Amino acid sequence: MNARGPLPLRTLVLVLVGCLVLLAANIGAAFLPIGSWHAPVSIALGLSEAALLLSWWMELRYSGTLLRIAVLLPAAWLVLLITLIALDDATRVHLPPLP
Amino acid sequence: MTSSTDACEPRPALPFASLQQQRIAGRFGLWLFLGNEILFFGGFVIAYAQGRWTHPDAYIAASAHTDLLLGGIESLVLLISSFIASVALRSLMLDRRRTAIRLLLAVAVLGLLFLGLHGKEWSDEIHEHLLPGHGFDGSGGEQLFFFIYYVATGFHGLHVLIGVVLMAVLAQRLGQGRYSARHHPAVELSILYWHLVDGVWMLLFTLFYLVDRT
Repeated sequence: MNARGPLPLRTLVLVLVGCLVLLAANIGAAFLPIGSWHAPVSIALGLSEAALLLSWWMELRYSGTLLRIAVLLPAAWLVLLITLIALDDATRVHLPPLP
Repeated sequence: MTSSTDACEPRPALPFASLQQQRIAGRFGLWLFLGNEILFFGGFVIAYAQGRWTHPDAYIAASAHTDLLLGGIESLVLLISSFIASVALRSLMLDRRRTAIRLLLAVAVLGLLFLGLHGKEWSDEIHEHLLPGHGFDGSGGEQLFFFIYYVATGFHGLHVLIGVVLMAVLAQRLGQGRYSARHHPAVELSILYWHLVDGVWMLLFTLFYLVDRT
């Protein structure tokens, strides 16, 4: 058995409510006239939902440091890859088409 | 059905010295696998971001074709299934085996419902000529969006299907008395997997349905 014991039902329900609120907020935000803020707001809300799920239902908040590192490293790799690809794209010189 | 107070006390599998050590190692191993899954789906996120960078207008046009209502219902279904999975684990830990079996089966049914809804969505999109290739009704950028969409949601659907099979098998094995309230690594790890499948969908739903919907 889990050394900490089962999570209280109230905690599980609160996380569900939090995720539902974030999901509704994300869908609602898609219709707000916020222009270029759409992408960062949507992604932040989606990631918050995933973070809630990771921390509570997947019990990452009760896990040891080694396990947290094992989870954060792939995420860090992903951020690094996206950053490098974005930098490559932003700084690439586009040649005119051949005659 | 076997009672949780089985005659034989659960023993750790080789090479573990204790059940607790086996549990910690199992969780760590599964998290490493989940980390790989994050990188796997991350590839689709990168492809999406690169395409959006080069074809911003096409992505806005393509995103308008995705079915927000069905996508929203699918998100709700997966979220509720994840909650039920957590309650199933809690029930098992509290030695309420029958409840745990029913809840695991409910998770499997909700997973199948998700697959059915997403299949309906794919079918509608294919009828609207939104399948990349000959006869695609849209620009090259829109075609790229739908290519990434089909591949990413297709692989996600495959993960859901694997999760459905896992939940059904676990429910059956629980019925056979293979897991106890004290020792149930397969149940705990499979439910962790199911939560990740839910989390990945939240990200895919955000990218394909919400980010470019203006």
